[in-house]
Amino acid sequence: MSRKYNQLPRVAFNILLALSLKERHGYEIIKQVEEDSDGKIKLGPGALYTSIKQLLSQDLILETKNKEDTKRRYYTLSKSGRDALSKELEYYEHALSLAKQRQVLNHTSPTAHAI
Amino acid sequence: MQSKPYVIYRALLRLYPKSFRDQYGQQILQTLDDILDEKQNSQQKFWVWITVFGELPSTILGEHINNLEEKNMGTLIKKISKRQIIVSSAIVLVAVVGIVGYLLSRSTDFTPTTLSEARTTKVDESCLQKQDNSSIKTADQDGTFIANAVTTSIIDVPAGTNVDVFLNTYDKTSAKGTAIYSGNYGSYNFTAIKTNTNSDDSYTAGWKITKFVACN
Repeated sequence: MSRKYNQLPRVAFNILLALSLKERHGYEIIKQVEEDSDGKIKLGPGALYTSIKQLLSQDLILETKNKEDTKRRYYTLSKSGRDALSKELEYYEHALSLAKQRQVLNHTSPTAHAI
Repeated sequence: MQSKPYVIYRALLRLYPKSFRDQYGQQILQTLDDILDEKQNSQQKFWVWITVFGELPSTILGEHINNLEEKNMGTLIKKISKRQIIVSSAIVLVAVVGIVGYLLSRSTDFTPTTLSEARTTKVDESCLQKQDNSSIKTADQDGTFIANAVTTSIIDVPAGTNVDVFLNTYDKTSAKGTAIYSGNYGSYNFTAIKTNTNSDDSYTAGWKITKFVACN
């Protein structure tokens, strides 16, 4: 599936990012998303599973089974999910480099100019 | 025993489309259990309920819209479904407003589970027992049951610590009073309610502590 830059909703992006290290079940995803977003994104179970349903239907994540934990469903990034995340990050990297050049970030120190 | 918000939340899950409920209902409850298991005190649990109830209207509405798009239904069916969506949304909104209001009204009266938490909840309340020393006559063994409810609600009292439980008001279904702990463990005003008149619990007989705050 071809995907243009910056098409992932923020929650979907953060879920993919949370799954980039390892497979996780629902609550592990919620905790990782909250940690990755510095506490700015607090997902409840409803929002989590509506996003998971969308990501599954787009083949960006896969459902897996964990032999040691049969009560919970686990999710992992698919190949196209990893590609989509990578493209999204490339977009942000490019945008960030432009923002630095143009000094539009709040914490960017102005470049000192010799007189 | 499941808490009231949990039972209400589980009932509200029925407002999601059936296909979504069948596929994810169990996992939503499992994840909620995992979240609640990790929250130590009632204030943390309160904010969990605010989050999970707060997201319900938008996620339920979103799922119904997704459901419509997925099914690509005809105009007539779409009209019927729009009405369903409006009704569902109205029900969810009313329920959420009610639940959030209920939770907010209780936010300062959460039952703490430790004396240290009770000491941080309020600091300027006068002990009821000091205001009225008149003895309160209780029906049957309610005085003992209420005292038992106090001792079972607080989990960080070292063994051997005595607590004197005084009632200030009592009317068979609710009571207020003061619990005075020996040593340096302080005094606390409490409110008790009779939650279940047919309780099989021979220790508390259905009495439950709904407020427990430090007093002077």
